[in-house]
Amino acid sequence: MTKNRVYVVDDDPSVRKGLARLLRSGGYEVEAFESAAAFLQRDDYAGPACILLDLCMPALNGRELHMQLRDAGSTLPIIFLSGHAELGDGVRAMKDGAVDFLVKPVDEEVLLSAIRTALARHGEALAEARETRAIECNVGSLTERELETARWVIAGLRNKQIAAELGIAEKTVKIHRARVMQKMGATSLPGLVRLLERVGIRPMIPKP
Amino acid sequence: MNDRNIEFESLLMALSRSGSPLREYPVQEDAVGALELIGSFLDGAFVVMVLKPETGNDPLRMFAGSGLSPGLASALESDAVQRSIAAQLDLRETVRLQEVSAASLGASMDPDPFSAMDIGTIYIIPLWNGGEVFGGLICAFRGSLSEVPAEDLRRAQCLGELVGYRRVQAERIDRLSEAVEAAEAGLWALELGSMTYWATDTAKQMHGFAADQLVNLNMVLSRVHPDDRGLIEEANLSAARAPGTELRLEYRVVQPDGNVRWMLARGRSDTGPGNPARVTGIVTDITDRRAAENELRDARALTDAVFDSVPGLIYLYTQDGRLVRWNRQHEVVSGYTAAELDQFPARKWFGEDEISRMTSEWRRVFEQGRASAELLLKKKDGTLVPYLFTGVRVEVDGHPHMVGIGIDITEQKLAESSVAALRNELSHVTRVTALGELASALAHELSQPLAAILSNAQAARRLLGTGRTDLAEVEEALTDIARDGKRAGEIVHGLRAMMAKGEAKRRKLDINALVQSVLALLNSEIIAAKVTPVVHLGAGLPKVDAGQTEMQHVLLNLIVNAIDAQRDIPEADRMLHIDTFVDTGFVNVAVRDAGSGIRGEDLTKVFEPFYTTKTSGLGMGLSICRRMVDTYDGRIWAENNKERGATFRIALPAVRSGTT
Repeated sequence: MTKNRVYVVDDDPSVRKGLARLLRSGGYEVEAFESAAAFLQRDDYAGPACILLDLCMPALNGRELHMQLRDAGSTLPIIFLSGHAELGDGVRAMKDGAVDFLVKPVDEEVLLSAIRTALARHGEALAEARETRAIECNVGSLTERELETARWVIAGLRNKQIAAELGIAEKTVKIHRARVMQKMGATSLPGLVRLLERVGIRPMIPKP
Repeated sequence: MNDRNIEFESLLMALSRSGSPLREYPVQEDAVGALELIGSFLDGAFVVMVLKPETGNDPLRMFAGSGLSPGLASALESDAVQRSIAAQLDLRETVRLQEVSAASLGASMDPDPFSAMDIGTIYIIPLWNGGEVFGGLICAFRGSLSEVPAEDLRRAQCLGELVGYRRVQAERIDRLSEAVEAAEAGLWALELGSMTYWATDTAKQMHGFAADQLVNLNMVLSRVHPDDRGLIEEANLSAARAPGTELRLEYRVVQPDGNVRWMLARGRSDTGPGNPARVTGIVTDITDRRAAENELRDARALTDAVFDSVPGLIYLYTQDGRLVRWNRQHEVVSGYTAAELDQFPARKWFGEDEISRMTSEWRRVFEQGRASAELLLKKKDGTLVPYLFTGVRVEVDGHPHMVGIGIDITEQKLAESSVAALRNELSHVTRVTALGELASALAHELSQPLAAILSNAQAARRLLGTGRTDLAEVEEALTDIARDGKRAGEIVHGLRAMMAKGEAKRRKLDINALVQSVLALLNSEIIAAKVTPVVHLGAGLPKVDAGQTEMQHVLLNLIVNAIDAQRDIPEADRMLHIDTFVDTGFVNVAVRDAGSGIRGEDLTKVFEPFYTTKTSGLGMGLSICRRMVDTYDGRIWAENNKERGATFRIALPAVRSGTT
């Protein structure tokens, strides 16, 4: 199993070193960077991770890095660390999706709790992403007719009505339906609705 | 009273009048006439008068009536005869010589002039005045003669003394006249009995008469200012009463043209043999001198008044430090009496620790002409008062002196210290304000080491809590904690120094260290402002003598200003160049930015109080910076860069090496 990883981005070497030491002692894998630019050069990592990001840094600062990551669709949770409590900065950071906004010096309980939250969130995000990918994979295994049938099914039509819509026999609709349920791993109609909804497959809309 | 006596009395009266030396005709003729009269009184004797020289071995002066043969005259003038006459006079008694001849008088002449004139007997009568024989009468009688009565001889002696003394007087007055005329003074004489007045030409002119005019006392008095006439009459009276009285009187003469002139008459009354009292004296025109004296007196009175009205001290010292003149205030302030202040030694005004400074300034006065010094004046009661003393070298009576004034600067000192206190206060407020504006950046700066410390401490505790403690890691964490603790301490210390209140202390400062300390303090501000400093610190710079807090404040101001000036320009264009270097004895710091620069007319105005281009702040920052730099004899100025932005420069005098 991959370890939980924390990226520490701070221009101050003392702070960087201290935070890294604390987080390692807390059982986390730590990777520290002296600047946003260095962070952007990091190796890929598949496991749950989060960023402990200094707000005030030369060149690209914490906020700018946050925006850049968000624009690139990153799901890495960010915990901001700031030298002083500036309400405006905190509110903006939280609005932009930061997990937390902490003020130095930060107590280990507060820090570790934020880290836990962030990692958990990332873990969930990762799991969700994995599930979605599995559903997508199942959807991909459906034939065109099966997908069409599925979309009518989640629109709430009965087999007879679907057969009329598709211009095929009711019996054939039954077979398609059973295959869909089987391939998607669904045991009930609501289950199917939920799965397809997650991957963005919309119900067919009957003609009036 | 016999006929002879009457003859003598009338002769005496005639001679008294006619023989007066104060008459205008030549005294020579006067004497000759008088001798003829004496001759006829002695029944036709030839009378010759000799007068002893005033000094030394000059020949006797000889006066003779008419009828004396040239031979006899030349015989009498011969050295030998003169010597023998002088010898006879020295006997101080009337001598009768019979069967007299040139040979008997020591001269051999052929034919003998005495026998040629049938002269057989001569009397040599000494003439006395004041117990001294001043000359003699030689009375020569023709043929053989019975003795002349002693009575007649005495009468002749009396008449001779009158004539001779007058002659001596006349000669004396003649000589005196010349001297007096040379001195542009007049000579006058007044016979008190007859009130006969005589005056030299100059004396006459002084009283508004022509030189050749005959004048008498009344004429002179008519020219004297009416108010002063009584003065003269009174003086004459007292002189008449007591011979030997010295006269000295100043009186006014109203000249015919109406001019009033002041005269000084000095004289002395005396009496001659058989003479009434006489006053002889000199008169000088003292109008100009009086005017000058008056002017001087007025000037002196004015200076005295000015001196005494001046609230400060005024003094005149000799070069060796003796007080010779001072004003009243000097006595009031010092508590010493005038008698104590006379010749008061300058050194005594000062305490021991002031003496060396006082003496060096004293020397400067006499070497360079002037000097001034602030010193504590010690009063008589021992209290000390701050004074500003000035001194200027002057010549008085040909000797170098120092004249000067002393001003009580107690008030000024108090004002100075209160102004200084106010300035310190303002400077403190400004510094605290400046730091207040940087509060968030400073808080950030301080939170960095604290964050590191806290993290390391907690990490160490965790490391110790686990079963398998990595002691090396714990030790490293503790080392880091110590380092960051120190760092935090330095920041706090720096802040405290910047906020320190009170008077600045001069210290030998390393400008480079100062720049670095300020940059460290401003680290977060610089990062937040997205400016990258480029710092070039000159190697081996001399130190400067200044207050650390102030210079830090100045640098902080300049750097913050440079940052603020660039908030609205693109990040890539921002610049913060700091250079230190030494140039002609001055340590320079240049802070260069790439902002919008300073408008030309504002290059100097930015250092004026309340001048600001910023929207926040009082506008005191740079004006206080300038005052701080001024305090340490430095300069601060601004200039626009060629490209863009401005450069602020400080130049502080370098401390000479070896004095560090």
